[in-house]
Amino acid sequence: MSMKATRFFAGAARINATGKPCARAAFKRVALAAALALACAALSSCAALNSVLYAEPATQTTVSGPNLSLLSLPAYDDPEASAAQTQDAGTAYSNVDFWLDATQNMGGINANTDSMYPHKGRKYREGGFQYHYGNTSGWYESLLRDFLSAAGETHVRTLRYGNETLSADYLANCGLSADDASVWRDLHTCDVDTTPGLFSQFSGEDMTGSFYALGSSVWVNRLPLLNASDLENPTLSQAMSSALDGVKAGVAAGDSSFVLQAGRDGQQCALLSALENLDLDKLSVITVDPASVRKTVGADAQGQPIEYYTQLLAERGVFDKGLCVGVLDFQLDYMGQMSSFSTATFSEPLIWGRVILNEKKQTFLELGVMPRHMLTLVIGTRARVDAFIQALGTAIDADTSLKGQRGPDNGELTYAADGQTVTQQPFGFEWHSTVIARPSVGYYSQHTQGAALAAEATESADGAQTVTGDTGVPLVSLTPGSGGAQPDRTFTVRFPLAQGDDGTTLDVSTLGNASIQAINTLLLTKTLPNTAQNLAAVQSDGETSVAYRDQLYVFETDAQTSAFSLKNIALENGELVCTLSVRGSELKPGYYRLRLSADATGAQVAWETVPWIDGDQSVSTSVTDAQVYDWETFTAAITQYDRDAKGLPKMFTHAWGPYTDKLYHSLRVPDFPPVYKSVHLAELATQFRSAAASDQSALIRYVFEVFVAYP
Amino acid sequence: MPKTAVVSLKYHNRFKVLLCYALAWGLALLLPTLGLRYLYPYKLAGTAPALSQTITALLPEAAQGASVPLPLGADAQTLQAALNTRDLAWRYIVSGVTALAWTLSLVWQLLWRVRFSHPGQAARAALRARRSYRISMAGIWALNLLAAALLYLGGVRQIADRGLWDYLLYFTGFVLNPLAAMLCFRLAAPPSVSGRHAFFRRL
Repeated sequence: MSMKATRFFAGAARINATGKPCARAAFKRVALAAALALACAALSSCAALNSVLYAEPATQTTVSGPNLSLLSLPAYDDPEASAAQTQDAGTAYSNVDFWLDATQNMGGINANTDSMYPHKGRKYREGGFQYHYGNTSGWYESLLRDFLSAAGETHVRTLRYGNETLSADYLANCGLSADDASVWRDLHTCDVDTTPGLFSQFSGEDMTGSFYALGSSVWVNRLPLLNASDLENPTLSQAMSSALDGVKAGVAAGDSSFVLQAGRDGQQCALLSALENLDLDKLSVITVDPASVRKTVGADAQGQPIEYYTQLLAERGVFDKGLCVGVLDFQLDYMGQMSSFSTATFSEPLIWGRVILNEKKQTFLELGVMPRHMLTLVIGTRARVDAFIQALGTAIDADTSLKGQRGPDNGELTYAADGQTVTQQPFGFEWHSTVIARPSVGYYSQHTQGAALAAEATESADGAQTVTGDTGVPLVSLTPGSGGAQPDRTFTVRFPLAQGDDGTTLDVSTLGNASIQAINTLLLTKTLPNTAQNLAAVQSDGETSVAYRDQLYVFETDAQTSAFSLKNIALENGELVCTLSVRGSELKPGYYRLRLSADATGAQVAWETVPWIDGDQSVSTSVTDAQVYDWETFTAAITQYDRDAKGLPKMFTHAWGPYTDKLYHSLRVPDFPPVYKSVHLAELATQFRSAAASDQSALIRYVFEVFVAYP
Repeated sequence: MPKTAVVSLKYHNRFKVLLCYALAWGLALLLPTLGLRYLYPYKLAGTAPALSQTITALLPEAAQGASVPLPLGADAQTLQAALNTRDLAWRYIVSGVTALAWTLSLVWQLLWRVRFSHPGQAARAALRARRSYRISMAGIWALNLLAAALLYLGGVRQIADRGLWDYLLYFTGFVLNPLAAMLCFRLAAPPSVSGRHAFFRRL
């Protein structure tokens, strides 16, 4: 005890005159101390009260009625959060497969055994895209080197795919599986760790053993030259080599079972076979001579139309695996013969480009190459495809051999198109590219950046407030109107429209499976007197109840509701706007957890026009059966009447010459087949797009909660 | 030699004083207690306001659960338990404040009684006692008013739809305490300042 306190209480021990303690004085001191303590306590209380009331966040004011804030819906798993995460861009490096089209059109090879035209001379070689004239070779060879450069520091495997085929029975006899795509790839592998020197060989070789010759004795079986360990099936190397030797022998012997047949709808072609056997774990670069692509559509046994390339890509799951198809079109120079064009097979080959001679002096004047388009498909992850195309662009820009113009300078070469004579002018190397990927129509959920939910009453001033609830989804709190009733409302959910780079736009006018569904509800369904009996009965039933004053409010979980309906989904000012109508009369106090959902299919995707594919600068063309008939009939007539080259009219020596209205043995001379365009390019692009957009994908999955306050 | 006055102890009177204290202060405590214990669950169930963390921290451990958020999608039993805890916490607060006011009021009244049990100057003691009584009653009223204000500001004001039952349960104690004190002042005053027909009646 302190000195002061000791002295203070010592006063109480003072003795009065009668010898008794002075109780009055002591009591005064105690009373004074109590008063002081009380005053201190009062002041402390005021300070404490002040701190409680104002220093802390304001405690929520209890609303009238049962405290529904104590209730909550079950925890939400939130699958939208994981779905909204960006897919793996696939930036990892992967090896590259070069699929080189070895069809005869690529190499200017006349598939007919007896040809009226020479294939090569000492100075030149009419090797199609891989011609050479002195030291000049086609742009294709330079382009292949640029492909290799664009592939970067990766292992490039080169596969030769052409018109040779190996039937399932033949493979089985050789101890190989026809269903194993890796075996197919090994069979078609002609080089691993490819270097630019490989492509130069193609231009310098003889036509007979050419890379592009059917059943080429040099290129069909390259397995003996390769290290077996570089193959996907090293243990089958010997069997595969034997099988390929059989192919060479079979083709040489004229065995048609080793030559790719047209198929039921005339759809079978080298490209289709290659696509069936792609290694989707690699970046596949596929050169395609569009003239070798046959029919792209047909019909099944029931007569249902089949889009063969759509079907194939869908079956292989190319787009399902997040891959995309880069479509590249190149205008190259060409000099050679074509014995087929799409579904047309010519009795006499087309001559497209030739060396221009001085007929008097019998000397070479110049190189009369002609323009032809070659397609290239690049299949892989979006990042790899984009990177490849970008690197290719850089390589092409730096490639001086692709600069300048080629072709006849003095109008020596002509052909008929659209009923007119076209005189070929010098032309340059051109290329275009686009990437077809699964349309990212967007995925709109409550996690979408900028998504907003607003509630508006249709008539009166609204008592709605939107916040983020405890479950992490937007929560709209609806308070009743002045009369205690909930007014009708309109909910508007707005999403900023995703800006994709896949060349598609979204058409929301015909969205499929658009709906608003109640996932969970917890709604007040009945009110009972707050008695022990009722409480026990409710608890035994496992129902959720809240006792409030003298009432027991009982809530039902997952009750059906028809208060919410989807009114409209539209695009407005760069936003995807979903409008919901809410009938206030059907709202019950409690919680609603709702999911607004809509799916998009290919029908909702509008592909933007690509000028060089389906726009005004399209390089694509189609071939009709009538045209094919005309061409085949005409070339058959040439065979019939002018097999001897000496008798062939001069106008037919190159590209059937200029337009003429003179009849040829009672036949109208048709326009020359449009070999200068990319046949089927638009159809192929359309089918690739269909495959990319064919699956139904979730467009909107917006989950939100509505709290309806007790009136 | 003057005859010394013999003060005889009247146990009968002391019993009546004790009975008066017990009845008055007992009722002041009993009625709010009975209201919170038996009336609250049926008339005011679920009306407990949200308490601040500071107030909740003062509560016994069993009632501190009121500040813990309920798990999402809590089942009916968990919800009921949480509601009970919430109500219990609130009743702890009301009981605590009421009991504090009751205790302070009783102590105040007892101090007054002790002060005037053995007055030094008996002739003036009654006058001083009346003056002190008025001051004490004012103090006790103020004390209970302060406690009631604390209770109101700390929680009652947040209760929606407050009605007669709310005010009856929460504030009865603060009215009964001064009344009990007043009863004890007037009927159970020390003999030295009380009389049969005096201001402080002797039982």
